[in-house]
Amino acid sequence: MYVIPFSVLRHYLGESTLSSGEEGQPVTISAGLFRRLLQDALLTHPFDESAYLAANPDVASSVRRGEFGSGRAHFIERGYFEGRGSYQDEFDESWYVKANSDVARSIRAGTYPSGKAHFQSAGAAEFRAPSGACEADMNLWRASLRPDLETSGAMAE
Amino acid sequence: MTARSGIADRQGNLRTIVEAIFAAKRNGFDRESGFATEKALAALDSSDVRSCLTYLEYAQRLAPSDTAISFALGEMRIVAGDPRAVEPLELVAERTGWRDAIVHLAIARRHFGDSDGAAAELHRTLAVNAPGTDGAFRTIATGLADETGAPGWCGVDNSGYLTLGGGVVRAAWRDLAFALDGEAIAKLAKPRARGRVLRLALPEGWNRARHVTVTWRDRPLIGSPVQIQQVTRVEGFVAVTSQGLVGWCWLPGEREFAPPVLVRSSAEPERSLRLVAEALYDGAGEFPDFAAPRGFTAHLDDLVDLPGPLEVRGPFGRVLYGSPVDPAARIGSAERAAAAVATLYPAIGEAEEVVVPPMAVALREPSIPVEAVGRRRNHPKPALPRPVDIVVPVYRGLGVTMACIESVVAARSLPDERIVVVVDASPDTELIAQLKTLAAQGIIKLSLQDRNRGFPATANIGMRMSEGRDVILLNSDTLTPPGWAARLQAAAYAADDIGTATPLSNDATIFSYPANDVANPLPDLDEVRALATMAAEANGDAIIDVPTGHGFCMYVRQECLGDAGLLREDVFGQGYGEENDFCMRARVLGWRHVAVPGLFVGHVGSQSFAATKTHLIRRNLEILNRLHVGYDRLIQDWLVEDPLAGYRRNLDGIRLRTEIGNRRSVVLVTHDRQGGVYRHVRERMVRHENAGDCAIMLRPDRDRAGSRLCRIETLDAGACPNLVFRLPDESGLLVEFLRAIQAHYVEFHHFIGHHESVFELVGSVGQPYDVFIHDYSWFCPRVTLTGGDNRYCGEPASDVCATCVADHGSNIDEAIEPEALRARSAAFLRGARSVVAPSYDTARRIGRQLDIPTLVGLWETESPLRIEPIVPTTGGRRKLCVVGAIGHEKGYDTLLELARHVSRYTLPLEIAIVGYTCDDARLFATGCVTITGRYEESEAVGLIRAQNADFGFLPALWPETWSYTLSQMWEANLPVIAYDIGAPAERIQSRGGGFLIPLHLPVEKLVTFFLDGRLFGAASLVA
Repeated sequence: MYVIPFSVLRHYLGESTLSSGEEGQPVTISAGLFRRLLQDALLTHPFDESAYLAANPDVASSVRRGEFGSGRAHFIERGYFEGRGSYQDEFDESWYVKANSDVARSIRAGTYPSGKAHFQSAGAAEFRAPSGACEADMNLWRASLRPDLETSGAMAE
Repeated sequence: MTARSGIADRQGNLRTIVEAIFAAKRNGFDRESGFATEKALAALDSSDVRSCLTYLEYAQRLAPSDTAISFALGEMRIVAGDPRAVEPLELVAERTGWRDAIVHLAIARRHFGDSDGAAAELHRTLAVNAPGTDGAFRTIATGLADETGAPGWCGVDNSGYLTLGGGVVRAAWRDLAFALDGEAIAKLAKPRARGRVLRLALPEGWNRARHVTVTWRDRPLIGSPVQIQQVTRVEGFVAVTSQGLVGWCWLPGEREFAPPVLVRSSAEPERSLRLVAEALYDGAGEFPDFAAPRGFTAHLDDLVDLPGPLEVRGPFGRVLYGSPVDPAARIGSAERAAAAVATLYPAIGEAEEVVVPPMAVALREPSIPVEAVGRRRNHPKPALPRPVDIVVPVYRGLGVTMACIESVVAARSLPDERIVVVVDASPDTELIAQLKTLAAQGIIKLSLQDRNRGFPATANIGMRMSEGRDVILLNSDTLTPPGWAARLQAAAYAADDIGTATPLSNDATIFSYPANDVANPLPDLDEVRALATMAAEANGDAIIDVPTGHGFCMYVRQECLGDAGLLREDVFGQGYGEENDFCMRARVLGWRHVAVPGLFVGHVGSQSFAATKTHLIRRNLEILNRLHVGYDRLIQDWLVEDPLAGYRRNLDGIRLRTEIGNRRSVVLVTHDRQGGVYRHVRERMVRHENAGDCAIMLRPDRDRAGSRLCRIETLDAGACPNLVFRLPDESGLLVEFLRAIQAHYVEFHHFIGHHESVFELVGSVGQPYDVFIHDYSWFCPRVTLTGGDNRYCGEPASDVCATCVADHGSNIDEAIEPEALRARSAAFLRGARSVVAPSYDTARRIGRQLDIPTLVGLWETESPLRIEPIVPTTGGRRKLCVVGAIGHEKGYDTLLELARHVSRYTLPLEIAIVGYTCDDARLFATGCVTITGRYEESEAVGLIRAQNADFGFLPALWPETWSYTLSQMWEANLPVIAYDIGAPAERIQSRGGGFLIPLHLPVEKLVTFFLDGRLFGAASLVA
């Protein structure tokens, strides 16, 4: 997207807000702009076209009707905001189990068959990263949305 | 057609549909599921869909992985209007990938109102399989395209035709666009519509493309993009018999296609024989259900003009597994041997002075008996370290290959260590590009072969490149830990006559760890490194003699290569067994082979079990046994002795201790059977783990010779399969291990199956122990206080026990007199901190018989009862439910007698069994019993509810100690009728929720009780 000059942004959002050292500071922007920024971020989010279409038959049909150019277009424009997954396969089982000792224990006890099952039913909602590669991003989201929770790994129990 | 005949037709079809599904199945049913499927078919004769479903569901529980039963179940559920039809069909589609299975899934989804889902299934098959050519397929496909607003559907078959259906057939041709791998296909003329589809030939070379896309005004058709390499996938295998060639070939993407097979002489490529694999192959072999391999043969007489070895190819030039073959070699070799012997004893004249087999004559089938072990050779120890070439043959698998090479590079440990990669004409261009980059950086030495020759020949090219250096043959799907090459080299030079050294791995037949009889899950690189470190700690520099090395990662000393030569390229096809042949040849020349248990290397290995692979392995094993007579015996004898067992146990021990860390441990002693005891023990283990301890189980086992073993198990049952101790010999070692993991408390649940020294062992741990009572085996060798009639014995004077056991046999798996058992138990229970029983009834009996104070602790926390009272029905029909694994001791005979009585007098009583019995067939024969078959613990309550029974029944005639099934029936809101004995009676008495009946109630009275509405009206009995 086209981004306005920083001087303009700074003028309207406040001098100190976007300068360094103010990471925790809230910024107010419109839902529309936030949505648009998210959509731009989703452009770099891993995505599996054929898995997405296979898992969302209604989307596959609407692509064939010409309502969307592709599954990816649907995901960014609408699917993400409807709570659909991107079906990227970036879950790292052994990293996840190692990084979450409580999960390792519950697998041994038979509460969950695998780390992936835990991630899908609970872990994602608890801001646990699916792999080492996205841990840093996940920490950012958590710090922003659940500042009461400490850093990664403190989610145990 | 009248309505009446319409229904009749449909019902007549039902049997035909199910019969067709069973007929397409390759592998037969076993006795039990065969019985159930027969019954299911018979039910369709009387148009009884419900009863057919009951039998199919029962058969499915007996044979959960049987896809034919799943398929039939799905079909019948469609007929019955049950939306769960999609579940079994989804399973069949997933497992077989078969077009018809996926189409039936589409039909099911559409039938239950999910057109988009059905279209997705249609796409799923068209993208990877040829389209159906029958009218029914076209009708469904076109219907789904129209319903979901798609412009049409498309598919590709193996004859090179693209089929289009749906709206596009009548659309303007110019609005359609076709592309192969993204390149538009120009000049495709519109063919004449045939029926409701268009069929057009794809341009030459189509079969080498990855996908074809078809769009109408930029909108994709259902099926587009079609993945051509999937549609054209070929499975095939060829082997040599004494008659000539025999093999099979089929295209899983188009079962109807009869594939051409080309047999061509490698020496004179212009000489060839063309065959077609037409008839379905009926030979034995591990094919999945619904596979349709087609057989072909070529007699030796047809092959005379083709000098071997012969290359055998299926459609699209795909080399079949097992190729090349040389059917004449074996006979030629035998002829030459016979001719050589003839020169020893000539019919005319003197024998030749010295008989030397003429070296010019290739001995294609030499016979080297494994008993022949050559004289040790003296190869003086050279200066170490020696230079090593790590030879990695590569075919495909970009991810695993790059991970393998990265791990080797990261793990360099020898001053002169080269990585030699030989690529066997890989179709993967990206893989070749990345390897070229590594070669340009000087990281690897690379050799690209332009012709596909199979693994053995590729490995030989690499080993020849090493020119007299030591070699490590390494598969491209391995992961190596730091220092691995140095450790292998040290092992190889631990003695002067060691030819090869092989480490442990997750998947390497006799070198496998932890389990050595099945492939273990693949560890990632971190886990490989951790395992290697622990292996070194556990087993140090030990070396163990093995009959043969394993080619996944095998260090070979250059002198051994010099003596034995390289791998045979002519008989093992794509590979499997060639390194064993090499090792056997080196062995007869005096070289030893060793395992290195102080090292672990990861191996992706055979993650898939394609029929081609299992056929090739079996064929090559036969070849190995011909070349090296007695090979199988040699391996089997070694496996029985299992010299690596102790080393695997060391590693298991270190692994478990690492996992426990500084926690303390709780030891639970129990038996090796399933059921309530096992469930209870596991629940207690979870409780201990949650409290911060590590919980381990001691379970009995026996070795092949029948000696008693004691096995350590954690909650993760297969995690440490080698922690097995021979009792009583290794009792000291086991105690030592238990002390090392800081065992601070022992729970003793059961002794059946254990060596009697287990009691002493518990004492030696030197920590307090509690005994949990699950049955009466502590003083009754019958276990359940029952005589021969499976009824409560009344606990007579103890001298009667000896005659009872003599008459009816003992069930405690050891020869001990009742008196001695009683004395032993009393002494052990007296030494316990406490003895715990699940009910007062049990505690009283233990106290009475053994004079031991016994505490009562319920096995479960009981939830509030919510019993649904029995509603009187018109006609007084009632249904009772029995839950669990019903053997004789659980009241099978009572049930059978009851069912036969009900059947004889056609009484309005149905019996539903959730679970299974020791003989389902006799119960089924009464016609008033349904049986679900085996279930998972978590399904129990749902299954009980699904029976819609009026009440539950516990038919056991002895004082059970707890009864989980009573809890489950209560949870399913059923009132329960039980005999007035044992814990169930005590629980019903104290909480309500059922009715008690006197022991020894004759079956006529029992039925009267079940059917008598007045008794059920006594609501006061239900709490």
